[in-house]
Amino acid sequence: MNPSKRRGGPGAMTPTELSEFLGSLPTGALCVENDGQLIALPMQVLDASDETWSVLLSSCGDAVLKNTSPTCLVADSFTSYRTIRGFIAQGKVAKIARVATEEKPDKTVVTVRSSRVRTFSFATVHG
Amino acid sequence: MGASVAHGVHLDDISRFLHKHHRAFLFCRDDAGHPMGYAMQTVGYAEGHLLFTTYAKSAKVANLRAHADVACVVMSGPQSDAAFVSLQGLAEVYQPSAGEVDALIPTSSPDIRVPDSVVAKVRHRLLTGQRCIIRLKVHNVVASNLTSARGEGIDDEPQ
Repeated sequence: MNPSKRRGGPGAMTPTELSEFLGSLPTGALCVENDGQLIALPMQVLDASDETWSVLLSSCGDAVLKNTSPTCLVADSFTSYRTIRGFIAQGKVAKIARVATEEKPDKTVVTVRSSRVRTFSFATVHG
Repeated sequence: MGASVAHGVHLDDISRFLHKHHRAFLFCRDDAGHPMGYAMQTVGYAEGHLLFTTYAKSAKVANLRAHADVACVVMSGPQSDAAFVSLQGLAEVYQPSAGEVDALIPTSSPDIRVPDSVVAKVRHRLLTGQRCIIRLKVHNVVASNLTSARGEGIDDEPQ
């Protein structure tokens, strides 16, 4: 381990804990690069299996989402300090589907193919 | 604030929202220049700057020092229809003075989820240099639902 790096911090969720967490349809944010700038939007996880994540964006703002754009998803839950948990998934946009309704004209489902996923859980803090 | 603001959003509403709500997702770039994000809690908003604390040796600090351009979403809570503001700006990392620690981190958190023992640890680590401040200078408000949420989400109790 590089001694200059931080040694403590939260632990990770077990696969069962991650599955339970994702089953709660957690909310967080998605970030993509848009014309050379990072843009972040709120999202809700709809489904996740293997390396495929489906998330719902209720607003795209002025962002132009493109297939294959590098992206990052982050979601967490914070009901108490000891139960903080969540994930960070980096990957690429694989599919964009507009699911606009009259009430929500800007609704979009984004499918992300992840290449790297990390989870965190304050239930298992190190250091 | 001095920032450009998304259409239809009131500047005063943005400022009030950022003062009141602390659930945030901060995104920067990793070594490869790709988006990388972190679940965070803001500790303050003043004069167009959003403030966070983190570990001085954390990966996010290394990423922010390498690439200062960031994006951030601040949300009123965990619900899927929460009010939100999406921001872009530049981040800097620094060690706060003792006076700034006192001003930013009261000895007891207003957030009932955060025990006083955690607050004391954060304060101590800020004062000893183990933790630092991330200060995000807001340049753009790129998206928000505060217009549609006006009178609803803006004044919701933080969760």
